[in-house]
Amino acid sequence: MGKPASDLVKLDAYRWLIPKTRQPGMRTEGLIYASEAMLPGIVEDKAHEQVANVACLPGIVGRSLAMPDIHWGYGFAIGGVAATDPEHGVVSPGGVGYDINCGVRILRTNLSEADVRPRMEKLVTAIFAAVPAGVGGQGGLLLKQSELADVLRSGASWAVGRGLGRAADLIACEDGGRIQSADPRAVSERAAKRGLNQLGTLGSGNHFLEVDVVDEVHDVQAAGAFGLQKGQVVIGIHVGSRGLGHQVCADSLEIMQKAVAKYGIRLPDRQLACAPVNSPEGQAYLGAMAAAANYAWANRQVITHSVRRVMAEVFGKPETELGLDLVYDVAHNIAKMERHMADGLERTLCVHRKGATRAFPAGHPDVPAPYREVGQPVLVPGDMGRYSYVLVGTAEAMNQTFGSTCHGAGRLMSRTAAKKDVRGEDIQRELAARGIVVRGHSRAGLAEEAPSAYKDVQQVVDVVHNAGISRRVARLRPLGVIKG
Amino acid sequence: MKPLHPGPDPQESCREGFAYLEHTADIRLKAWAPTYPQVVAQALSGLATLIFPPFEVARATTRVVSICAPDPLSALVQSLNELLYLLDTEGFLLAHTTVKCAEGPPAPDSPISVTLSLEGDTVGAPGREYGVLTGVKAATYGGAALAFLLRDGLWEALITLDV
Repeated sequence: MGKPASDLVKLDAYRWLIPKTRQPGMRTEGLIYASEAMLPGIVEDKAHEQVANVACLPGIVGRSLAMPDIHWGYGFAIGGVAATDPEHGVVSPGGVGYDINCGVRILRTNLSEADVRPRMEKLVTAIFAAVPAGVGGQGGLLLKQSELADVLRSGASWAVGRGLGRAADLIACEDGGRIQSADPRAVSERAAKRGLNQLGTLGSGNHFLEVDVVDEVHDVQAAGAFGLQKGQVVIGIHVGSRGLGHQVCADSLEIMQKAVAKYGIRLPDRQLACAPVNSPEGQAYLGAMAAAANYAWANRQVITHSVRRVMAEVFGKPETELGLDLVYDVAHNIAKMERHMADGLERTLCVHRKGATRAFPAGHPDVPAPYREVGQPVLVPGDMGRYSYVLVGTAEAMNQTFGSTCHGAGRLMSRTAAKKDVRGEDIQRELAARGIVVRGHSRAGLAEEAPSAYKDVQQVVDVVHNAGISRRVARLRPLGVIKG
Repeated sequence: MKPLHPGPDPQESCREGFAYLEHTADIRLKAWAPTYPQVVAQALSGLATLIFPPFEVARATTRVVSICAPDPLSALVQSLNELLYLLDTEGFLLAHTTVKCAEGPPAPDSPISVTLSLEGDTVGAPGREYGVLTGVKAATYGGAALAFLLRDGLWEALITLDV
């Protein structure tokens, strides 16, 4: 073993330990999944300090973990994973993030690149028009309060029940698109008000819709189980719980600041504000978080319906003839009660994943039946100029990371630097020259999301694949991108 | 959507203003001014400029908001989040802010009440074309700081905006 420039201890080529002695208050070690080449950026960003801080949380079980797309966040680093004991441990909204259940889904089609190329401009333009960004409170479905409560309770099944999806969509969705323990009453009036007009909207920042083609298949068996083959067009949707989720997080952080004092919890970082899982504050947060997660699943479901309608119009065929089946939907900002082995015993743990994705293996009962022989699909979007990946969960992930893996590429460059580096119009032109049609609701937003602003997702995926915590199944190449 | 305008350049040598600092994933906002109410107003302008430049927004309507917070930093963060709330629920865009609170410099760990008078317009107002340049999820406490810098005689605030 060797020591790199910082105080990280090399366990192997892809795992770097933060010793428990690094700082006072650490109850366990930290472990960062990364290649050696990634370390200088991680250390410069100080994200490893956040992994050490999370190791101070009361009731933490196992190590404080970080995936290779790690970068600085609030409290937890993006890419952070931590499990706590629900009897003696805490739940921390910083371990989920503001965009509760930000997540990704992909739909497979019966189309090839040759089928969509002639209509790509029309398709991207039509999707751009049909799926509003919804920033500034415009464009979403208008819900009544009672309808919103149903959405918060029922998640994706609310939308399917209203004809905005297929029953099979719920099977192919993490948790069936609904956390049963959601408590709409725990969602504040302010959060509810923000959610009334944003259902079916994309938001902004790094949220997107993409038309991709399966560029390479790495695992033929898993790809076959997922219904994916080389040359097939798929549609990706990346969005979360919008303003409702942001408000739930903001409300919860204010409550948790007081809870920290009430329960005498000492923390190295205010943004790790938390409460015992079993406390009224902890339970209220989990209930509200689950409600916001359900909103996000309903949001992705409504957007799916819009995309299916657009595809049918553009290609002049019924949706079902185009396929457009949901492959899978994953959450990458969430806290869930899950059963895991810890200290030789199977226990229920509160698993926080902030910019990290669940990656359950073959045979796990939570993996949908059609995939149970191979494992859970994991969807890892890259930047809009390069690739995205489909991975599959592994048993090793259950052993090492509470069944977790990376969620995306991770940023390399600040938004201000990206906007200085390139203009939105230039990005559009450059990508068009490479055959990628891009539409964005904001030119500044396009510049901020330039491919050069992100790590190469291939490098991130290499780490998790080689560390054994998920396995490459297929690589996707973008053909068309709609940015919020 | 109107063409992108970066807004007036913040001048480091001015007695009040705002600037954006480097941050990997989000936006780090720095605001400074001679008084606490003015630094809150500058921070709001900094946030609003990301969303849509205030100098291009008509002063067609006013929102008056009262914030009660356990300390001045919390009041600042909550004021910024109030602007995001108004954007989401009413499509409100900020043109100008007046901030009032009790006379004298606020104590760092003492409760504080702040009244914001926010003049602006709404997205979709007839006859006016507004877009939203950057969607901001929240003003956060991550790395948040508020201090009175004796050497300059200025209040300085640093806030990370989750985008």
